[in-house]
Amino acid sequence: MFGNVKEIEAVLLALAEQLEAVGVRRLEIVVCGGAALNILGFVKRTTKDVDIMAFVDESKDGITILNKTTPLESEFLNAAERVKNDFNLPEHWINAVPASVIDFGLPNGLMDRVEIRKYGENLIVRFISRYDQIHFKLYAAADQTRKDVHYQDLIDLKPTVGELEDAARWCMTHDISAVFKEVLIDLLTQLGRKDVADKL
Amino acid sequence: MSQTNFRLFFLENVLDFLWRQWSCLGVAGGARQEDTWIIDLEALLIFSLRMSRFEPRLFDEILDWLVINGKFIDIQRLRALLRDKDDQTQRLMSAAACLVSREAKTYQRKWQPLSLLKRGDSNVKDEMLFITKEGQPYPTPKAESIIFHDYGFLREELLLRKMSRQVSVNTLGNIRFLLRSLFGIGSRAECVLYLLTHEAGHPAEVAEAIGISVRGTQDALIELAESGLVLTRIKGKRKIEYWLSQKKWWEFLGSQTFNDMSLPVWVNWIAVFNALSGVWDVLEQIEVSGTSDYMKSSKLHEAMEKYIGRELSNSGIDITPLPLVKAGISIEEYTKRFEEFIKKVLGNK
Repeated sequence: MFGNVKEIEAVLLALAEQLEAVGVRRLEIVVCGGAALNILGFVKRTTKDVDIMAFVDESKDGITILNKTTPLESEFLNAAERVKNDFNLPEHWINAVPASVIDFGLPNGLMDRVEIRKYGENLIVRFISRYDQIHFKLYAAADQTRKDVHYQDLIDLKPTVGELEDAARWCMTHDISAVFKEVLIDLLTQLGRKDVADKL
Repeated sequence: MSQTNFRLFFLENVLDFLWRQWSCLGVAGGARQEDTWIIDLEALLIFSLRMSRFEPRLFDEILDWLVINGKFIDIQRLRALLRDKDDQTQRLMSAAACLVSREAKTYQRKWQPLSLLKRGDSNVKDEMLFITKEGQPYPTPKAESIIFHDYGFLREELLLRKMSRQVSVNTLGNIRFLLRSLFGIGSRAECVLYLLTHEAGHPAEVAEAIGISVRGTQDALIELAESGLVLTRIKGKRKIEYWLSQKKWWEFLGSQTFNDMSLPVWVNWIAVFNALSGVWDVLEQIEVSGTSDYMKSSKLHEAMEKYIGRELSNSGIDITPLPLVKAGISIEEYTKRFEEFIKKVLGNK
């Protein structure tokens, strides 16, 4: 469990050094979730893991490609395991569980809005922006898993009407069922945004 | 404590510990102190030759002791333990064997074959035998030892003081020597020692602990059992384990009533010295690597897990669990915990 930004950044730097030690000269990841919210200063709360949304690669033509896995998986897992042991972290303290979101499509222009931080010489982390976090958090809050945490994060992000509407429309591309739309409308109403709900 | 200071701390604790062990055996010059554990001469010798390169006085006193007490060394066991050691360690042991075979004419036949185990060759670059505790090589010798040069080590000509005493075989901690005097050097003495300090054992576990082949150990145990003083019993489905009446044996060997004896403790020194060597390797790598405090701490932690945690867990030394690095715990705090841990392992006051 990470208590603050300093602790998250300490393990990311440690990860960079462990990757360097096994010969990884460059690894680029996109991070969402609580770790990203804390580091970018949108919330101040404990978080149990670092959520990787994607591993970033580049095609021969210089086009950015987002992948759910990395060719350096073995090195990455070894380095993460050492950091886990050194800092007494839980299993899967860093994981690519949210990477499935790539299959359904990301908010347009997400990669243009990321905030880039470098840890050591080789680990480049792209933290997703507040606008995109609102998308993910709205979708997550509509889900049942850890609903309270995501709901609170969403409130802390102070979304505008336009941002919530964009987020809601994006969520509905991920789940096109009428049931999900009802859940979403209820959630927006609960958030005091019936005006947005009425537009859906 | 910085990593450099920690390396020095580790080295000084190891050397202090080695001085104590050798003093129990009759080496001159060390603070005499009775430890409660049974000394493993061959494992101690291999580890000591490596580490006492940082303490020339101890290195030379060990050679001096070998010239006086070399008859007690089990060369076959020594060879077996050397088998998985690196080239440098094998050359060092061969050089010592060469010196002993020349200085102690009575042991010439015993030691000379070991001197041929590993010599220096064109692929081996000569290096200074002695190194300061800070890791710097000693100055080039003025009058060089030819023996050591043949094995790739440079040092001043050696003049033995011949101050070492004969091993006191009646000290309980030196029970291994008493058994070697009684049964002769070899697997029988080692097997009896194991059974004196363990409730029972089957051949494979005895073999692993004493550093002799399973076949050799099994043969020795079968022959010992024919005396009727070493007994067998069935454990599990088809496993035969060997045991003896510790009370009867200790009273005979120790010339005291069993209840009055403070029995020495068996320690798997092979595992302990392997572990300490492994940690030392890491400390040496860290010293020259120039990595960050975190990576130094991580490598140390890895070594602790690998060598201390696993190898020492069955050594017979009562140790507390490893300290863990947690977010917010500094390298200073970590090395402080490690420091306490090492003190406990090495039994230093």
